[in-house]
Amino acid sequence: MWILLVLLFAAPLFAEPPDLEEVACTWCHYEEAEDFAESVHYLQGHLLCTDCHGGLPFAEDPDLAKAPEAGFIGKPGRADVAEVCAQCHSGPAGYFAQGPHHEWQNEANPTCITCHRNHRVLDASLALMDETCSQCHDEWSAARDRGQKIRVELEVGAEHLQRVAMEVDSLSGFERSLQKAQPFIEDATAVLQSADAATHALDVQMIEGMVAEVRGERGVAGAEGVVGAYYEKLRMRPRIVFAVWVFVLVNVALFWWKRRDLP
Amino acid sequence: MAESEPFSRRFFNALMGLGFVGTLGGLAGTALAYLWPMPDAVTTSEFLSTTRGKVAGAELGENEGVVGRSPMGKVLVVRKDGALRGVQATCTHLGCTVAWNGESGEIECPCHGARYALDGQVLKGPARDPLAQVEVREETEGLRILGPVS
Amino acid sequence: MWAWFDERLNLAPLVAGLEANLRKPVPAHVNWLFTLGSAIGALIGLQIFTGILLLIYYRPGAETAYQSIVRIMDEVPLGGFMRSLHVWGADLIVIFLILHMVRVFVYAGYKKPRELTWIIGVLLFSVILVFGFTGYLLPWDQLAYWGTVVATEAPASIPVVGPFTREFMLGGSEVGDPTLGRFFALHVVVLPLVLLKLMVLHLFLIRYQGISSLRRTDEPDPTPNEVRAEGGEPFFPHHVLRDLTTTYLVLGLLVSLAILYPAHLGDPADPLTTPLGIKPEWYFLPAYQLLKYVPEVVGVQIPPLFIGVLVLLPLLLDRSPERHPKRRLRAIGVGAVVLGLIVLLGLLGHVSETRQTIFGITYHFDIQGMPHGEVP
Repeated sequence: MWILLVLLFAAPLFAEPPDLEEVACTWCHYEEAEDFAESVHYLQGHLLCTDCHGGLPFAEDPDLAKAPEAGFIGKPGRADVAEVCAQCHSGPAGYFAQGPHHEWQNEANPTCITCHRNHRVLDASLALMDETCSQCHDEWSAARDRGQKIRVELEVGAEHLQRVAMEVDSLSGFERSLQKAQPFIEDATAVLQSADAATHALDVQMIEGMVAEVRGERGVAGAEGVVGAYYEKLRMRPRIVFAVWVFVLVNVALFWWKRRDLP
Repeated sequence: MAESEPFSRRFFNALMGLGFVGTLGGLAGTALAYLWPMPDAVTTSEFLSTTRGKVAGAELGENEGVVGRSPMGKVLVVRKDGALRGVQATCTHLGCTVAWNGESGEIECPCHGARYALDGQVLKGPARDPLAQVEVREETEGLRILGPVS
Repeated sequence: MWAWFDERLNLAPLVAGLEANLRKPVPAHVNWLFTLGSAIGALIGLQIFTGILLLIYYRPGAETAYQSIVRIMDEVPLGGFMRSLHVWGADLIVIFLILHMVRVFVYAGYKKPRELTWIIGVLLFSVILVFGFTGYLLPWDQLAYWGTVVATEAPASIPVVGPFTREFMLGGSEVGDPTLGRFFALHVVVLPLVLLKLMVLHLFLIRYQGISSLRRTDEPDPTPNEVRAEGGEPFFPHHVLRDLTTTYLVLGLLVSLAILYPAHLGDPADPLTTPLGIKPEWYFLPAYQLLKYVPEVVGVQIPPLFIGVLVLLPLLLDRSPERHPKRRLRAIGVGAVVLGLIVLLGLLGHVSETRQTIFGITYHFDIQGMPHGEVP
């Protein structure tokens, strides 16, 4: 009996994404469905077509499934793409609106799906910038330069944070004082995550500022301070032991001398 | 005992004595460092707080008083005739914490019976110095202790 | 100043007697091995010192103990150092105590007329072991909790009274808050009182009777002049300087260990999760391992019997009048074999249920301590 209860509560851990074959949209839009089946939205987010396009996913009657009353919006136009994505990704969408690409009327500008794809959306990474910027910008252009600066800045910041976080992690296992470094790592990680969102504004100075905060006194540098203090403590120990032994041996030498000196 | 080089022997014994003193000193020193008073575990906010958290203005009715912690130390806040009055809550006699007596309309110290008025003036000994007055402002977050009344 | 006390208490003859006693020569054969006792005394003094300091911040109780130790280690200045001194101090006391007992055994210091000193010494040894046992539980981490569970399993197998004895010891059916309370009271009040009284007696007897000579017990003891003629030095200041030297070196060792290998604190005790490889402290490993070879009912009686044997040593087991080690080879041989067995049991206990790599080959030691080569 209790096994059932355990399974009930553990179910979310083992949950599989819903079966796409049961979603009526896929019976006709099978190419899009195939793409979507590989995306993080489906595999990790457990989303369905209707979470972005609206409508009813399991209604077999197309008129019911695609009823405007059910929220169906069909294929979003250029203007609407950012709005759909912003339902969940309001951070990046907000920064995008501040960036050089925000005028959706200009067909030369990308929308969210130009770089992130529409159905086969994978985990956003810095590598994405390599693939996508070149679609429109020449290799030696100022735009590519800007993107490259941002990419490098974020990469350096992320690598620094990861390196220090790993060191703090491995040391925390046996040295209690390292726990003081945790808040710094957590703060730095939070800022880095918002820096990732802020990439969409494509503002070099903004990113440089945020990465500086990640690596600064209240972030990675703070954690490094804690680690440094620990290593300093470790270095001090043998020196203190040496001093103790000098004191002990001086006293022992005095006792020895006294003994020899006695009648 | 040979009297040759008596100075050297005395110096020697002094050195040995120093060694003992050093050892005892080391023990005493580490014990002293260990026992040194530590910073208070209780953090104070600008709002009057007790162990149960910030005191809400709504908790304090007319002619009622409450003692809590603040950056100025322990403070007694009384609502009298609709207005909030604040005084230091540490009796100037020997340091006990005073309380408000709504019936008598006086601040009383339970230790030796000192009495103060709401403005801190001593009504009855053995206290001699008045309680410092404290400025209190009621805000949505709690009772903000602003500082001594100038 | 002195006169004020002397007028009222007539101290002068006392002091004169004390001084005469201190100036008495110790036998010529007394060497550095005879300084172990005073080193132990110094270590015990330091345990009391660090113990009192720890007591100021330690909070006994299943809910509070662990956190209070965390506080001592993280917040109190030099807290971790004081704790490390205390933990290492306990280990060193047991090691030097064993060495001291071996020395006394070899030099027949337990024979007539010093049987009482020896018996008090055996009691001191038992008290120290109980100190270690009770102290081990106090941090209330996984190792402390489960080590105590394992160590208190054994009494339950005593016939008839076993299970109740165990429950009485634990203050309940399992190790819990009442256990911690009892162990704390023992460790901090009861045992120190017993220890101090026994120590005073032990030291008084030693000074009063002096260190034994190596003559036969049925021969008259040498007079102080005879001892001096044989090369014996005065206790004070000659032997005392040796005592001080050893004490300083031992304390130096203790401080070094405490600084270079600070005491750790494991995860908080979890009565529902037994971690792997739980064993009692190293000085209980021989008894722990023994219980794996013999039925528990038998095994649980052997440690008390061993203490009994030690007590009876001068009274029944070895009444031979010989003291000189060269003329007691059989007795020393028996003692060496017994000690060797105990050490062997301890080693087996240490490697049992672990993997060790010796000269490049990895062995898995089973629960009985027998090695099995690993299949690569």
